[in-house]
Amino acid sequence: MKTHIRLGIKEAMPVILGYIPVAITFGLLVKLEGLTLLQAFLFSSVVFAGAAQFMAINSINIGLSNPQIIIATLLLNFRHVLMSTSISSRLSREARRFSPLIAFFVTDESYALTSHRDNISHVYILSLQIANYASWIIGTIIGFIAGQWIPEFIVSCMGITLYAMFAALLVPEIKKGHRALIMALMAGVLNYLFMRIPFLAQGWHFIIAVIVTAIIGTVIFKEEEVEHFE
Amino acid sequence: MNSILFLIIGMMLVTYIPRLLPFILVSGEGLHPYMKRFLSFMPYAMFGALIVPGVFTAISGSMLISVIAFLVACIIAYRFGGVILPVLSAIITAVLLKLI
Repeated sequence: MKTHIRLGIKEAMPVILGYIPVAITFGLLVKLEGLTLLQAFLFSSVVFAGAAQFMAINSINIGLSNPQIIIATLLLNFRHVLMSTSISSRLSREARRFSPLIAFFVTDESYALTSHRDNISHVYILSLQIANYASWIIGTIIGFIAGQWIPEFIVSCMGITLYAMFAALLVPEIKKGHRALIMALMAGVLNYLFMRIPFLAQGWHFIIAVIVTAIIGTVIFKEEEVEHFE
Repeated sequence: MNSILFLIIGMMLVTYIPRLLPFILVSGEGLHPYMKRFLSFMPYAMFGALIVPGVFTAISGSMLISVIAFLVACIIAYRFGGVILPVLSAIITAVLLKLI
């Protein structure tokens, strides 16, 4: 139990490092929009979805209505279906009882950190997720209260953190074989191309790019594996 | 305040439901082999789509610095492994390049 908690928190470190500056930016943005600290806190603690929160504040600023913002949020966050599906298929039997709680904390980052694990324990994944969650909330509060005194330079440079983490998690897979590199490149290129389709709602380019790439991978690499066995 | 509170609750519902549904519908047992293969390929695709094109605008206003810092993270990860070391290397690279 203790080792699972420690492992979860240790693995959460790079995400914490990445979340805090982004959350600081969010907290400051909420304040500049004229909202209260309580509202900033509720956005981060109740919704807990970075990109959607930024989108919401910008939408309030340009005068969109609540239903419009909520629909945009649904489209933007629908990608979590993919991540939840993947995590759900790898939870331990015992952990399944906690899935309503684990589901609340699903993010791109907590998915990325646990993507290579099987038979995931709830203690491990919840420790990791709650550490991420806490840093997101703390960052939001710091940003609201003290955001304007934190040098923009540092916050800006910290923007690379989560991408560096994705790289660090992907590279070991690439070392194992070319398929990881081929599929990651394919998905990246498709994501970029689909993003440029004007009528595709925000967030869907990601979902389509991932599904198309995974289907292509399933088809291409299946044959390769058959050859290996022969 | 009320309007914002409704917005937050609405956003929570449309965020939580897609996060929750797969946990109710999908479990590891009894999955079709094709579905299992598909799921096993998804992480690579997901990493690719999480990185590109977001990495190009990771550090506001300097695409070149973002890309160089990202490549440093890749090289350090390839050479030494781990997560914290590549991440810190990327941040330090970004800070140094910004200072120049």
